[in-house]
This record gives sequence, structure tokens and C-alpha cells, in this order.
Amino acid sequence: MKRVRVYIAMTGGVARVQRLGKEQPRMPSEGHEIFSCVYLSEPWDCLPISDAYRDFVRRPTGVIERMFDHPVFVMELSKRIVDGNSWMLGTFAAHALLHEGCLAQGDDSAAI
Amino acid sequence: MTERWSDFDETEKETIEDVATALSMRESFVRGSARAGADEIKVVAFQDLYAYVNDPDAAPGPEFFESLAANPQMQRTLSGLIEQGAMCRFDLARVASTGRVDRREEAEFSVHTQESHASPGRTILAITIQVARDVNPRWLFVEAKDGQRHKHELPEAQGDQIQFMIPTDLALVQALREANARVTLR
Repeated sequence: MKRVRVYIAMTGGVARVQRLGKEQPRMPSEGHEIFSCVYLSEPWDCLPISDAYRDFVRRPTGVIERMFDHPVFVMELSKRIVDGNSWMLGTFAAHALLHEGCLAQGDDSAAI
Repeated sequence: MTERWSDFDETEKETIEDVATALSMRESFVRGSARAGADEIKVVAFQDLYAYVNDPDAAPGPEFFESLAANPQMQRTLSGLIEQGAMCRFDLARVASTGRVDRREEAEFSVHTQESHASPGRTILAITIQVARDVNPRWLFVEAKDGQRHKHELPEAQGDQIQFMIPTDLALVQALREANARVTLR
């Protein structure tokens, strides 16, 4: 299957979606909720858009859980996104591709 | 005249404890300085210890930790500084079947570690705030059983949880998994 790599265009440049994956929604020991988050790959750092991403993913506000039936994801980007909403379209596309099993991640070769 | 500890009220007790801690730190600093002259051991200045505990930008180099490792008195002073303003110190650790500690609990906080499913090589660290409070902890301090010390700035809490993800191979994560590590929130 051809894999597609997702880039998110911003005013300050382009961020590549390095990795996106489902996280288990709760800690197995105590059942505490685990949050969705967005990280910068290098240096490893939590990005300020994580709060907005969490709301973008999880019900009742989030479209991702509604569309793809999972409430918690972790996304790694190649470049820092500080604020704004322009990341949402590319992020949605990345989730749709992940759902279809054709998102290029890490060192995967990508056809597109 | 008051002669028994129980005769003091809470404010007086706190004041006495603060004075005692300050005197103890001063004494350890003076002793450490004197020993440095005799044994050629580099001494960590008290302000360096204070900055390590209280200054978000303080990032001491390896010589700081080398000097600290060679001076048990200064280690005790540093532990005292960390514990003085601590919101919680975890004394009990629950060892998982893997032999590692993945959960520590006290009355007001608990700390959990869990390897990420989504991001291999990363560990989720979650601090649960059991009792709502005005100010949440900003720093996690861990002293490994070999004496190595680690600190990590905590992100803002989301509801009753402070949560972040860090590389599993960080020394901080390894130390957190030791049963004998001393873990403190400030």
C-alpha cells in the first residue's frame, strides 16, 4: 500500500508529522485517564497546542474520536507549532490516513 | 517559660524548625569549606544548592554533582532544602511484577509511570492530585539509590492530573523505577 506523508503548513515553515499513534486511554493500574498530546521530536518537548489538540480529539468537542472511535493519540512533529488553528486540517488528514493504514511515519518511504 | 515542645503553638514550631534548619545548613557549609582546604575536595557553595532547588534556570554542570557526591554533609543539606518546601515526599513504592516501580502513592498525590503504546521508547509520567489545592507542584526531584539526583520541571495540571511524556532511557525514568529512590514534589 502506498503511504502518504503529512506536512502541516504554517506561517513559520512546514512541520512534518513524524509519528502518530493510538495511546491507551487509561493507566492499567488505577484507570487514570491519559491525555492526548503533541510533541516535538527533537528536542523532545511537549508543544503548547497539546491542550487544543486534546479537545480536537476527545468527545464531546473532538472530531477525531467521533470519526475514528478512539479517544487518545500521541502525535510527534518535526517543527514547533505554538498556536493558531492551522494545524487542524493537516492533523485531521493524518488521522484519516492512520485510520486507513497508509500514513507514512518515521523513516517510512512515502509515495506522496 | 515554655519548656516542652507540645507547649509551642504551630507558628512557633514552624519558626523553630526554620531556624534549626538554617543553623544546620550554615554549620554544614562551614564544615564543608574547612574540609575542602584540608582534603582538596571542591565544595558546592550553599547558594549553588539553593539555586539548584529553587531556580528554574539553574542547570549545574557535572562538577556540581561530582562535588556533591564527595560531600555527604552537603548531600544532607540539599535533601533538607528539597524537603523544606516539599509538597509531598513519596516514602512508599509499589513494585510491579516486572520488578520495577510504576506507582507511588501518598495521601495527596500519586505518581504513575507507563510506557507509551503510541510512541515507542517514551514513558508517560502522570501525577494525580488527590486533594485540590491552590498551587500545584512545579518540580519533580528524584534521588536514585546510587545518589544521583534528577529534577524535572512539571507542566501545568489539567484537572487533577499533571501529565507528560519523556524518553524512557532518561536517567530520571530509570531512577523513578527504583524502589529505594527518594521522590519529592515541590
